[in-house]
Amino acid sequence: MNRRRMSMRLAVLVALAGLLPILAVGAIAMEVLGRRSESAAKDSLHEVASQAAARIGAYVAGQRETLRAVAAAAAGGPDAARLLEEVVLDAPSLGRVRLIGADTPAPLLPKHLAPRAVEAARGGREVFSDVYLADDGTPAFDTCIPARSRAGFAVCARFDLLELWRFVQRVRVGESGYALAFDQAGRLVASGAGALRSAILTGEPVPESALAVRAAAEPEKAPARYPGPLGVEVLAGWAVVPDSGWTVVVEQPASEALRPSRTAQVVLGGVALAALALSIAVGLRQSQRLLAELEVEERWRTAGRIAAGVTHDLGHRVAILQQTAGLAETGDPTFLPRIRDNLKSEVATLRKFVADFADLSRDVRALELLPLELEAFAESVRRSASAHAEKMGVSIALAPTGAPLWVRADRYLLERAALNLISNAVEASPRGSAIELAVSARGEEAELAVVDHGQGIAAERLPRLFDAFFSTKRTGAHVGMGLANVKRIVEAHRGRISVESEAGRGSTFRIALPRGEPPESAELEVRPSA
Amino acid sequence: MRRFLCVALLLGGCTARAPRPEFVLRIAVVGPLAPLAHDTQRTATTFAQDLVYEPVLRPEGVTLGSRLLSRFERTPEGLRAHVASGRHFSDGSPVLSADVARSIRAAGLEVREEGEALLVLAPSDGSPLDARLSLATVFRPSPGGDLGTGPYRLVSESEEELVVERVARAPRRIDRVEFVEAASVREAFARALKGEANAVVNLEERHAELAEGVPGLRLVRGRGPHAPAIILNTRRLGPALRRQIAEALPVAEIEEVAQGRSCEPPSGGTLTKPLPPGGMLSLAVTTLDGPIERAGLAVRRGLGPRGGPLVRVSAEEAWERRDSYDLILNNALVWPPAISALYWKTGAPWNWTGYSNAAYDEALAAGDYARADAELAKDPPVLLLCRSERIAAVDSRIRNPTLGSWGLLDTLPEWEVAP
Repeated sequence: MNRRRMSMRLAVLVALAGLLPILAVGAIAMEVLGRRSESAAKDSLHEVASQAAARIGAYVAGQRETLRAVAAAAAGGPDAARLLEEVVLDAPSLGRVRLIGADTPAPLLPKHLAPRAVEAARGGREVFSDVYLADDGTPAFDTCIPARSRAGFAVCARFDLLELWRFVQRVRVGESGYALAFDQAGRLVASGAGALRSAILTGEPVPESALAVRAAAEPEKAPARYPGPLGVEVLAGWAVVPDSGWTVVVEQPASEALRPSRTAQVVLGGVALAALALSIAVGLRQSQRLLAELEVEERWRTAGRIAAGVTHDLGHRVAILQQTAGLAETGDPTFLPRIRDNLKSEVATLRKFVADFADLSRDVRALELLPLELEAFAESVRRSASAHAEKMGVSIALAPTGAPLWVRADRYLLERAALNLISNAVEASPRGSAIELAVSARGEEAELAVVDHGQGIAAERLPRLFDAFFSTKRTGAHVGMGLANVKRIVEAHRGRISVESEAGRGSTFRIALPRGEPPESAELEVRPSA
Repeated sequence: MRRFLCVALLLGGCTARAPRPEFVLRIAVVGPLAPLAHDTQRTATTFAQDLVYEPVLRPEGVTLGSRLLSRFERTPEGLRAHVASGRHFSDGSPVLSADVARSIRAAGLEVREEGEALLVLAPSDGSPLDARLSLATVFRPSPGGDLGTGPYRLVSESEEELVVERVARAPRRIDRVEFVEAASVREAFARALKGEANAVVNLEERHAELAEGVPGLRLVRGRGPHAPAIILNTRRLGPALRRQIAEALPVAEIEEVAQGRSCEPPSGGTLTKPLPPGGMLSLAVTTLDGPIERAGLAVRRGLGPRGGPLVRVSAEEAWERRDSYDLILNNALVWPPAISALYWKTGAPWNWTGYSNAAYDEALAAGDYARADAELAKDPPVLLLCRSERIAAVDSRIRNPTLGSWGLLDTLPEWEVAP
């Protein structure tokens, strides 16, 4: 991972860690805002509907009151018929105002009231018909008011509800909200939506007709959101006109009713995103600066560690070589075997030293991964390491698994890593002890474990065990690059390395690699070497 | 060869323009449609008549004009007219003097052909010649029906539907007009609201309110040639009493009651003189429409104690029994000014009450209609309310709809359709 990617990742981590909760809170806030807005819009529509219903109720009641006054004032006079007929001049919404008595001819009775109802009116009870459409299309109802000044008579009239049209058509909510009025049977009697007005004249039901009947019975259960008659989702508020069973609904397209909250949500979301982008940009720049500083510092620290390790180890080697040179200078032939052994040992040590440095400089990012059967690989490694182990009085055993376990690996590098772990295990093991190799499958991973029964590793050293130039051994050619290299190689295979250790009981190193498919015929199969 | 084909295809692509879609105005009208002819006087077919036939004289402002006469002048015998050249019937044949003469004769007038001129003789019944020629339409009989000179010609007709189309298509004008029958005003209006028709005419004010805000429709208003008329029966009421009635009736108030606020400018005052005591005056109200009904009631109330019985009768019955009532309320033609001569000139055909006023007749003969009106006011045979408003709802794509002051659809040929 280069510095740029690392800094970007750091910036994103910082931004997400800081802003993710804010965004989550923002999202919740937006949802709450949306719901509250819808609820407020519905309440508002309900309020408008209630006011409209109350006003319609008051209008109808006022008209009846007018007729009562007319009945009281005019019915008793000698020219009652004429006065009543002329009422229409002052009250245009009244028509066919007539004094009805027992001998009034049937054609003069109100068309939409049953004779029994008229009889009841003459007997002292006010009656009125359902709403009907007059021949000219105007909604109307017939009513009869007892003529208090003339016993046995009633004043009957037709109430023209033209004012109802006007009033309902004047109700406007926002740009396109409108009101509809229904009678108790769900017939549309007034409409603020021009496209629905033909239903007033034809009596054809509109989509809300059934809802209106239900709303009249149970206003609180009337739906407040549904597909509207013009093909768009609407929010609605229902109200029942007092003393009539009529209903008024005020509808507004949901998109329009919720536009303010949608705008607020968009602005809020935009601000959050802008803050996130700004945060990432600032974080990126700051993390790049910090990483650059860290890198410089780390370089110096690494150089120091390398210098310390090299100084220590080469100093040790130089001291041995000086001692050996001293022995050679004595000219004593008895020292020759010792001088030979020293030189062989130091050459081997220096060669390993050079090999470790070579591994460290090797680029492990561009590996050529090929199918590799892990148990066969482990057996191969065991054989390679056995000679050295036996010399140290340690045996190496491999527990068979019985089933092939395939991974994709660079055989050379993985062998270097495994031999490094085994070499460490041999050095840590007392003579006569055994090292165990184990291959196993763990979910989607294949694992190679190297188990020794040596003195173990102190717990405080475990966290930095795989750091470069950090060695548990200060006895020979160990500058602390071995386990760091192992880790680098394993991670280059997209694997993991872990260690468990207990003082006095030994250590277990585990290399876990992603499991792979067996090789296809066209692909080169990596067989273990014999 | 290949290059030639490419060029040909390119040119073909350039020249083959998509034809302009035909704009059809579908007008919902009330009642079955009568067969279209030059003299149709019934049903909504008269609307189509305005589009297919043209009158010999046409009211233009306060005077008369003609598309078919190049010039005309009054003479002691009547009116001398010269037929314009370059006019055609809908089949493309030219309009000849003989055609105009035949059409005038069909309207019950006598014509003499004097060289290239036509001499139309004043009617022997005393009716005004100007008005009679305004009602006479030019036609030529043909096997397919009467040919007209108007901008539209008949395509098909039945009791349910009558279709006319433009004789010569014009850009952004209405190409085809379909009149479709509806059982009632309510049904006609409902059809327009539902989109089954894109025009409906002769709406009442209350319907106009229902049409406001309906997508695809727009309201058009205009003054028609009619006005509610309070006819003072000269056979039963003397000049003095008629003048007293005229002074007693609150005409402005009656207009407001009968016609709402549609009467502009106000046509009468509000200061009135009470009617002197006397016998009850009887009233007949024709059962035509709401404004006439309300005007009748308002007149009776305005007459005060002398307001007598009010009966509602059909227009035909009112005419037949016109001697039985002191006052009759009916619609009357009041525009153009010359048309009033049909009612009030001595011996005129629609003179309800046998009214005769020599000074008025003389003013008419001189063509001085302002003086004629003044003479009429001195000895009033009628009190006129303001001209009735015509209301129609038409397709909102039409940019400049107006309603004719004479024929309702006189201006339709000039209506412009939005592209």
